[in-house]
Amino acid sequence: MWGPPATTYSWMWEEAKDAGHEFAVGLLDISDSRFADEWQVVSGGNQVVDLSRMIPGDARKIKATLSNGASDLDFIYKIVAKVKDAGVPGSAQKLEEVLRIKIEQDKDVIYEGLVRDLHQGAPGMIRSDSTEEFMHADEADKSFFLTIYLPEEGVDHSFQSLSAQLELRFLAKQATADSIFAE
Amino acid sequence: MKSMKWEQVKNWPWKRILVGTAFISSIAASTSFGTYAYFTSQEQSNATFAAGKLQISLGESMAKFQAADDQPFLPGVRMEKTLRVENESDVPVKYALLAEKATGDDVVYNQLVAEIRRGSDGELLYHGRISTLTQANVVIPELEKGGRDELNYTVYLPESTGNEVQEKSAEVNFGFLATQQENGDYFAQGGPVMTFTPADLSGSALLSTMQLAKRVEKEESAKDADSVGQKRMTFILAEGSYDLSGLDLPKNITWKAAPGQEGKVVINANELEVSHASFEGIRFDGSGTGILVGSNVSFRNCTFDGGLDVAIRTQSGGEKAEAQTETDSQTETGNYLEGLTVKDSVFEGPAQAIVLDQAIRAVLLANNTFNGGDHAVVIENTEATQVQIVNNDFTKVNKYAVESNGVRVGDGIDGFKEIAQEGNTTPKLALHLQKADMYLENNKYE
Repeated sequence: MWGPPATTYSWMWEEAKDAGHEFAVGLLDISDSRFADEWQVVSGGNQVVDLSRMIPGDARKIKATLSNGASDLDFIYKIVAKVKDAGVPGSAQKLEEVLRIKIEQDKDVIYEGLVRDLHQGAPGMIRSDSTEEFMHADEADKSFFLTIYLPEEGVDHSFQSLSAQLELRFLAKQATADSIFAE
Repeated sequence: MKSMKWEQVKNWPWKRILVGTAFISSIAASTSFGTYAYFTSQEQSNATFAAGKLQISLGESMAKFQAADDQPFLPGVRMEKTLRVENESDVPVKYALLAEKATGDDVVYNQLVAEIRRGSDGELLYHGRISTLTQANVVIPELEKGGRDELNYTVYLPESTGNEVQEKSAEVNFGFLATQQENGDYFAQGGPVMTFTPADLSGSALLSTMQLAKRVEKEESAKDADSVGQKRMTFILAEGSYDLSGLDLPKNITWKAAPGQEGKVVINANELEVSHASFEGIRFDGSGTGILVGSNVSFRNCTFDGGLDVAIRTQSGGEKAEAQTETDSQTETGNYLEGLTVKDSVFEGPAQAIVLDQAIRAVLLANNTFNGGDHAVVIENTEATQVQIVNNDFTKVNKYAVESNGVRVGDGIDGFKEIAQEGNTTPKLALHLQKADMYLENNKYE
């Protein structure tokens, strides 16, 4: 039953080795990134900062900081925003028809438009504006000011008392050509 | 050239080996009978023999593996290096490709994939996990005297690999094992080899065969308890039909069709449970569910009968890998199976070829042909699963190449399609779904 090995050792053999190749994966970590605790009222009558009580013309602002923490890898980040249903289904979708966002970085406006255009989007879609950018592992934290507002016009009575949650997130992915953002 | 007396010659290769490697000595001792057969044919006692030289040397283009543009090592990044093997022997040699883990984390090592091509003609010598290159089973049959092979190594982590590899590393040694061309089909360094016929694995012979196999398994694992990478055994099966159902199969076995008998060695697969096993050149016949895979199972050059409903399905309650990293324990609720490789195989039309209904990581499906059947790959489990699907032929699949909880990839599906990116001709698709990370590249759909 013992097969070929019976003959195996009678032959000459020699081994050559190319040893010690280390394949080490680095760290990508943006968990130190943060959003300010409180929204700031930029304009609008409500003294209580409550997004659900905004009326047309109201604007609210928040500071967001993207930190590369302990990362030793360069990465690509993306700012994504989404309005999510909190109560009545369909409210979020309706609100997204009008809710707008302005993103400023170092006093430059890098985005101004509908919140819904900042959805994560399908894998492989690359944004042309600076809401999707490259960050070096040794770069300092980046600060952004995000202003959420309802336009003065175009928000009619049908939008009254719609309530939903706004979700703002930073996504990060490894800086290679074919990588995709994960949820 | 130094000449030796017969007595010396007789002992010469023997000594070399004993000095060189400790781990093979006991097997050799039990099988030493055949050892001197070659030399004894030269029987004149006074003759002197000049033993030739067998030597290979290694050159390299650069000291380290490097990626294009000096990219860091990340999932999907190809690290490359060219090695030069030169035959400095007096005779032509054949050589085997080897790799072993030196140090590091299994979570990286177990997922590393190597693509090895010969420089002169670009011939693909190996494409698969590095962890299955430990057996000296990839053999380059001839390197002429004074000849030289340039071997291009590309090492990468599959794109479907996730955060669990962050801050982990593995150190790998690549080796080349040369021997005389006349040597047998199997390299000793691949572990013990046993040959079987259907008669050995049926009736009363079966029990004693399994006992023997278990004993060798035990000896082998005891012997290598300290060293990295456990030894495996190879079972060579002669033509015929085998029924292994109901057996508690020994682990770390490569089940391989005898040379030239590929496809003629049939294992009846009826919910056959396997884990820590490799199959090469085997045909699986049956109906219903064929094979239930646990962790670390590999199929190469196998054929799966069209009469099966499901050819390969993940085992529920199989031995699972522990969540290994902090990130894992935070995001994963349970454990998962690990390591399934299916390559160079043909599915003759099971209704569903591969069904991953348990969480499983490190799945590699490469160069397979799926003929007929409804779906080729079905992913339907409650935890995250990682699958790499490359170079497969799905053209004859009736419905979808991949089906995962309503997400479909295949002929006629627009949403999820492999697309060639700018500056690259290879079509690719990376998907991150709720239950699955998938990476597809260069598959044929229509």
